[in-house]
Amino acid sequence: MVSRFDQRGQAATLEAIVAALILLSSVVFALQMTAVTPLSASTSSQHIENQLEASAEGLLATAVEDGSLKRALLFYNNSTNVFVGADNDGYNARPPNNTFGETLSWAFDDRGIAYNIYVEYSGSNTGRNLYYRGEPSDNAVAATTTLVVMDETPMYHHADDDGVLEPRSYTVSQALPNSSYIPDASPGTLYNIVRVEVVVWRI
Amino acid sequence: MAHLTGESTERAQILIVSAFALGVLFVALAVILNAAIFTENLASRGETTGGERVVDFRGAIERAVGAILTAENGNVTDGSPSYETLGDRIETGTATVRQFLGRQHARAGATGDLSVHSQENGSLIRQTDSGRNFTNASGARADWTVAGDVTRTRAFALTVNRSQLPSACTRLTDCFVLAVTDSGGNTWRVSINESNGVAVSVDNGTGSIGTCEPAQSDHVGVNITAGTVNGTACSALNFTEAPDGPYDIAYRNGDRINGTYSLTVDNTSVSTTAAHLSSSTDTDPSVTPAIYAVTVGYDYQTSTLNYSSSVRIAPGETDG
Repeated sequence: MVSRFDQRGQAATLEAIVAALILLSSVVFALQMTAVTPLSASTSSQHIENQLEASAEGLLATAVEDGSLKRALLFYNNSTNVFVGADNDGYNARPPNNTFGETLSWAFDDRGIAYNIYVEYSGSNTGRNLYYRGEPSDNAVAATTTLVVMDETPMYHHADDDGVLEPRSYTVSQALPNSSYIPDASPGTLYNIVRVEVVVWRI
Repeated sequence: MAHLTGESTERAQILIVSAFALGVLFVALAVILNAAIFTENLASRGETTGGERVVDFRGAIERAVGAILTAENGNVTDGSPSYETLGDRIETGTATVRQFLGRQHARAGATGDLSVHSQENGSLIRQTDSGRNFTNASGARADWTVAGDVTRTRAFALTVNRSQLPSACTRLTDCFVLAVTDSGGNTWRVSINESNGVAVSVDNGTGSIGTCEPAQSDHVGVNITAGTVNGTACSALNFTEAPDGPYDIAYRNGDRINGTYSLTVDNTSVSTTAAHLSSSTDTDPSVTPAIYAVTVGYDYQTSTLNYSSSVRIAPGETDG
């Protein structure tokens, strides 16, 4: 008699433990579902991505409108084939020393946001990095704009120390065709069309 | 513990069955919650058809074709090309734009196409010698009509030398005056003189005279159609207050101002109606054939969107 009840007791205990495990794991599973929602604060929040994309687009639109993007793109040394003050891979330690670089710095640097800027154009050599900070994270967003460069567009340099670039005495069509930068892609007065892409991510 | 009854064995089974049921319930709740989160995720993503890419495409067309239009009009150094020649040059440039933008959007899984639908002919009037005053081509007339019978004007900009600008004259009277007058006698006038800087005064015919903040640099850019003085917006300088066309654009006291100017008007016969302008760019001021505006049709397709429209491009034309 005694032994029969003993066996039943063991089974009941085991069943209780299994029941407890099932309950516990289902609660854990359910809780995990709510750990990260799209609205949780994190580097991958969809809202942050939307915000970053909007600010990158706004920044590019302003830079196109006030001409600072064009000036920064043509702040180029055609004899050494690099952007002035940069190496072969573009600027990397800090943004370019001009109005566009300053805008980037104000918008992103103090907020723990990293960004790369790629320049692409028609022709044999297809693109360059204007600014390269490293491989973007999975949650990076991109904003792009296009810019028209005409044959008569001047190259730019710092003629005085007001931080704004001044036009050089020679034009794009005189300086660039023999460099490894933007080639002349059109027979008319159009020189090339440049696509600028800013990739932004939180670090 | 040795005297457990039969009832207790049944209870353990109920316990595991109910735990199992609760577990299923929790998982089901989690799945429902997950669906809600997924909805939230999609909802916070912004619109998904990619309509903003059409706006980008249109903006890129406007900028590129606008720049080509300005450059080809200004590049007339070989006498007077026909409007067909100018149109062909613009189409050549537009073909490059089409090729480049098409390739760029193809990478994003979209096709973008564009072509020039129509052109509006006009004339480009300009003076490029910055030391010259604003008299007519012979230099004999200080009061003269720059362009008559004009309906639309775009990209009208002056660059004024401050050092040669007199202060000893009365604005809107014997200082330099630019007058836009229609056949009914309605007039809109801009006067420029030296008064603590380059002072721009505007008489829009309502009786009160508007002024812009005096600009201090040696060469001051006054953009009539954009309403800016040295790049700063001036609310008094509002070209939309000028009479509707057809109107005449005239200079008064053109000997009291020096610098350059450039404007594009939609009148194709300025050179023959006004003998004040030279038809060669070697002599200032000159008038050359120019395309006033082009209409570009464009088409943009993605898997979720098919958009066709056209855009009229006239760089520097006042809105409204």
